[in-house]
Order: sequence, then C-alpha cells, then structure tokens
Amino acid sequence: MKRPYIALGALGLLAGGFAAAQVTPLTPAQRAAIGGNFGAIVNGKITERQSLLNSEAGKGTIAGTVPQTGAAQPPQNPGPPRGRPPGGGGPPPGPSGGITYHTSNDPRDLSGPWDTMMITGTGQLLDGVKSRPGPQVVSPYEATRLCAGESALLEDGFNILQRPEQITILLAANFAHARRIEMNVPHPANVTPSFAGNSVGHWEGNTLVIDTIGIKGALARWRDPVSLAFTHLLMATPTLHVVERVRKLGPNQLEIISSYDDAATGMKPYRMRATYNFGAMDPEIENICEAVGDLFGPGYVQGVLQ
Amino acid sequence: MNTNRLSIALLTAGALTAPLSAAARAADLSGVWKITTPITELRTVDGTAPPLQPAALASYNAHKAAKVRGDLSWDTAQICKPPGEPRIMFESAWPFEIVQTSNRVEFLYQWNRLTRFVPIQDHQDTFTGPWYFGQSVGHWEGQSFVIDDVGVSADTFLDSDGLPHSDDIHLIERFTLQDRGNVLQARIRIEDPTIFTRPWTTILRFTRQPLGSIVEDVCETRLHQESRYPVLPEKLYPQ
Repeated sequence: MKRPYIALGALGLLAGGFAAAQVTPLTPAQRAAIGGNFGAIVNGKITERQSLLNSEAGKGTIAGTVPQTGAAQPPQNPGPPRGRPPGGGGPPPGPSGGITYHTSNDPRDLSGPWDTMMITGTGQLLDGVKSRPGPQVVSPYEATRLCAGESALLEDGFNILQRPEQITILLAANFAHARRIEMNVPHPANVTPSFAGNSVGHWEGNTLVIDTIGIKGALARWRDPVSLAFTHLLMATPTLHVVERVRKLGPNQLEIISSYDDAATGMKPYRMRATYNFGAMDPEIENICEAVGDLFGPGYVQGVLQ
Repeated sequence: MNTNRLSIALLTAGALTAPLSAAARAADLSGVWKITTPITELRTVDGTAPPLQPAALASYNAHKAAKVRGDLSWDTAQICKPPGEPRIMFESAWPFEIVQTSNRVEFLYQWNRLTRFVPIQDHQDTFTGPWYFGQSVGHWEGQSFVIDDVGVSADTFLDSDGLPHSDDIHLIERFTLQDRGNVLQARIRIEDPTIFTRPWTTILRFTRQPLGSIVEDVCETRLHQESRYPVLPEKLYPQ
C-alpha cells in the first residue's frame, strides 16, 4: 500500500465542501453487508457509492471516494512524494523537485503542467445550461468500484506531453492516467467504448481541436471554485461527441472550451469553459488507485473483488 | 544507501554531463512496444537462472510451484497492484508506449493504464521510496537511454513467476534501438545483495507496434469479467 497523495491532498482540500454531512468510511463488515460495494456512512446511514455520488454529501469527493474523517487507515509507509505536494500552492521543489518547467511564448507549445482549476481556475457553463445528465453506460459493477475506471476529460490538473504525431495528456486525478490524442488522423471505423474514449486532434490556427467519441462513464464534473463541490455532472452515452478547443491565452494560461452533443438522444450542443494556469501543480506523483482504495480499510480491493 | 550508490555510479561512469539539448539529438524511443518473444521468467544474459540467495531461491521456487497449481495468492498483481519492473514490460505480452520529450521519458503501460515517469537529469533526487515503480532518473549515453531506478517496492516481482527482490534493489536499464528502429533492446543490470549472490544482467527485446494499438485495460473490470477472483493470503491484509 503506497502513497495516495493526490487523493489525500485533494480530500483534505475538499473537506470543507461537505461539512454539513457526517461522512465516515465503512468497516469491512459494513462493506460486506452491502455486497462489497464501496460506500460510506452518511449521517448514520450506510450509503453505497453511486447513491453517495448523487447525494449532497458526495459532492466534492474525488472519483466517488469518501472524505476521511479520522477513521481511515493510514498508508503503511507513506513518505513524501516526488515533486511538489499535491493540491498546488505548496512550497517550491526542494532537492527532490523533479523537472523544472518553463513557460513558452509559442502559442502552439502546450507542453508542461497546467494547474487544477480546483485551486485557481475558473469554470463556467456557457449557453445557459445548468445540467444535462444522460443515461449511464457503465455496468453496475463499474459504477460501484473505486478503481474500475472513471471518465476524465480535462477536469483537474494535467501535464501535456507534446509530439507532432500525438499529444499525451497525463491526468492528475481520477486515475484515468493518460489520454492520447493522435494528430491529423480520423477516428477508427469501430471504437470500443472506454473511459478515455477515442481522441483525435488537429490545429485550427493556434487552437488545438480535440475530437472525442466512444466515452463511457461520468464526465465533465466541474467544481465550483469556492465551495469545491461539483456543480455539474454529465453522463456519457454511446453516441456522445465531445469537442475540446484548447488554446493559450498567454504563456501562463490555457483556455479550454468543451462542447458536448449527442444527436442520438437529441442533446443540443452546449459548452463549458475553463482556464488553467501554468505550472502551479506538478502531477508527477505515483498515484495508484488500488493503493488509495486501501485507505477505506485493509483489504479494500480484496473486498470489492470478492 | 541507494542514493549514495547511484551517485557514485553516475560519477564513475561520467554519466550525464551533457546538456538536455543532447537528448534532442539522441535516439527517439517513442512508440508502442511489445515483447518480441513472450516470457514469464527472467534469465541472465548467459541463459542461466538468476543467482539467488538460498532463501530467495526457496521463495521463487515456491511461487513457481504454486503457480503451476493455479495458486497466485502470492501475487499482488492479482489484486491489481502494480506488477513491478521490469515485469510490467512483458507481463501478459501486453504492449506499452514510450513518450519521449526533451526533459522526460514516460512509460505508458497497457496493464491497468499505469504510467512511469522518468525525468532526464544528472542526479538522483533525495530518496523518498520505496515506490511501486521505484525512483527513476534517466540520461543519454550516446544513443542509449540509461535509467537508474532505486527503491522499487518489494511488494512487486521482477518477473511473472514471482522472482523476488528487496526494497534495496538497484536497476540500471539501458534502452537502445536496433534493426532500424523496429526493435527496442533493454539491457537490465540488477543489483540486490539481499536477494542475489551477485549483480546480474538480463536482456529483453521489444518489437515496434502501430501507434494507437494500446487498448484500455482496467484491472478490476478485467478480473470481474473473467470471474477470476483472487484468494489472498492473510499476511497481505492483517485484520
């Protein structure tokens, strides 16, 4: 069991977002009582993960995880992570600082770490849309497992590795780990739905246009920058089409306007906008979901697999 | 400990005195790679068994015997924990991707979407491990990319048959392109006096695959779909 720093840091930062509810993790016996599903005790009532996600108490949690209130099992041998502490805003890198990133004036150079909007960014729904949940396409198993996968577009912090043939986006949260955007190619003829979806990209002037299909699971959870609670939840459908337009507003700021449409379900296109600051967060931390899962009690992963 | 040993090794090797711009002129390891000949156990460059200490040999043999019986309870990868290095590069003969930029080399494994971060720098950071993938730094020696990796968690195994190691392991991985860039060779020196009687070296070869050929693997979902639930030893999770 090792080092779930991002989740720990984020959980700590998010703790104020649901202070109204008393949330504690389940004991192994309680988990067994609900069939091994992940859950928590919310105001004295056992709540399964999906219910928790949809509840007020669950808003603001990371990937459906539950904030710890003192009953969590600590990592056996945590030790500090490489790079900066998670959550941004921490001390600058010390002797173990890892890579030093530099801003670029090249509008087509998007490489480097971009700050989670949870800390300094702004997110807003455009076109007056408040919420548009769709049908859930993940299996009940996937919906209730912490490490079973989580869709993630450009939600929290990320680090962009840029090459001409492919842009790779390493995600700081949700354990989706990496998105691959193959450049200047069409989507494959047949796309198997996945949490990352299938993304292709091209440049329109100085704007990187990312076209994604084949997404499953929940996505586009935007956090309110003040309360840190989720303000929006969109469930992917098999025909959901996402277009992200990514451009630099300057050397230190990135703008992403994401549009969502689903012709099969009649969903009209609507957009969300977010901005990110350069380099305030280095997400290069070993981040193992199954290890984070152990925080919910010894044998958490064992429990959900059996 | 490991950090000191690494620093000495780097200094004596005269490694990485070149600026980062040298990396731009170096070979480009980027691409998708898959083990050329599937394996489950590591051998030395001479084709012999790794030089294990007696206790480690007994452990390795026990793992292999259990595996033959279908008992994988010793293997934390069966509960979706990272398999370890270098095992994850050939586990199940699944591909992995390398993304190389001027200041880093990133390994993106198909296995449970795991990633390994290797900064290109001339010194090992203050040791903070052990980590599942260890603490790695890389540098270029000519056309070879050399990774020094210390502090790989002993919860992982070196190969799919359960070759053990300790937290004090030191891996020196030398990646070199061959066959006009279609083959990637990894020459790996393994030092771990707790487990092995002497340092030893193994060689792995990988064949280039089409970009985009990695599919999404979610370990928990995979095990669920396979109805392959592990039986875990109590020692992993003492109540």
